[in-house]
Amino acid sequence: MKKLKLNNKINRKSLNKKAQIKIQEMSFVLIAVALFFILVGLFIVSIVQSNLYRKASDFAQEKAIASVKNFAYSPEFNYNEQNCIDADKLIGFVKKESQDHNYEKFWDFTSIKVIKESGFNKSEGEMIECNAGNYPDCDIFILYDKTPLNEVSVSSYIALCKKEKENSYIYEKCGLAKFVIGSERKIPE
Amino acid sequence: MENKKSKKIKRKSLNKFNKKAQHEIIGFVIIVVIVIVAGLFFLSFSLRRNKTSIQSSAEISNLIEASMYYTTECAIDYLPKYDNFQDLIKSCYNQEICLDGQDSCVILNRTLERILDQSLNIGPDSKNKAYITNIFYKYPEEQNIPNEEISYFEKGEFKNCSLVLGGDYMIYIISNGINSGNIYFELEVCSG
Repeated sequence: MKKLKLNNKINRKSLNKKAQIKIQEMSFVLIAVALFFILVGLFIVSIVQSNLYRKASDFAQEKAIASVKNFAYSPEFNYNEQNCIDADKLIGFVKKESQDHNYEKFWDFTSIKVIKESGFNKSEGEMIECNAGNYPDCDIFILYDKTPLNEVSVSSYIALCKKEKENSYIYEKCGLAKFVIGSERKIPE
Repeated sequence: MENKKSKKIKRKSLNKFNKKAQHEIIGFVIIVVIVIVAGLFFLSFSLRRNKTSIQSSAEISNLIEASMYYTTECAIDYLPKYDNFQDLIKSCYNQEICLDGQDSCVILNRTLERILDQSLNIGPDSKNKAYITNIFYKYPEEQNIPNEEISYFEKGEFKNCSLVLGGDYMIYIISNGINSGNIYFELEVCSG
């Protein structure tokens, strides 16, 4: 009887220990599963967030491009349609060496340039700058360029139009151009 | 004898525990597999959706809008009344011939190719890998007539695009004071 009682005691003790181990195992498994789900969640959140950042920068760029279009529509440049600018007005803006340029202070941009279709696949060094002497056989109108250290430029396609004469008739001739606006990037101190 | 019996009981109970543990491990593995499969499905679905979706772009829309004013080499009525690109699309749709005897649709395709080649700079090493343009006439919906193709062409390989940028433009067609349908110009650019 005594032996049986002892055996029972030992069995109970070992069973209790096993139960404790099982509880421990279960808790470890639960922690592992929770960690796994947290990691998966973090992974998904990081993907969604990176997409959000990309979308935010895309929206900012789209907004900048739209503002370039609005700027090109101002009466100083506009031809007679929206998204069209007048090449003859542009040549009037191009800086002459002997002349001070007031428009640098008039607009809050660091540079304004218009690249003609002929200059699309050229580097800025290769482009022929437009002036009263070579117009219209040139590639780029530089209205002004303050050349700051940290310049960010945004460009948008526009139609560049001018009056031309053929067979004693005057007609309007339009081509493609890129309107490029530069502004200084503020660096936090 | 009693010892033997207690040993047998112990072995049986151990076997039972082992079997239970095995069942638990199998269950856990099944759960992990299901979660991984669900995760992979979600991931592949979201990535695929990002790849195929076309993002409307102000740059492409501005390019299309600006190219509508582009003066072409085709004059239909007299010289120098050259068609702009928008009028050339209409001339092509009406199957008109330019004064120099060239087909307006041939000039349309040539002009469009020149505009897009110069502005988008398509190439395998370039930012823009390929483009697709589609110009079609769409009848009013109540007429149930399929779209009529005016011009369609593509350049470059439209594969593995990290971003597809798109834009479109609509030209109203009015005959006898009634809108008889519209011409649509769609452009998609594969950005790498």
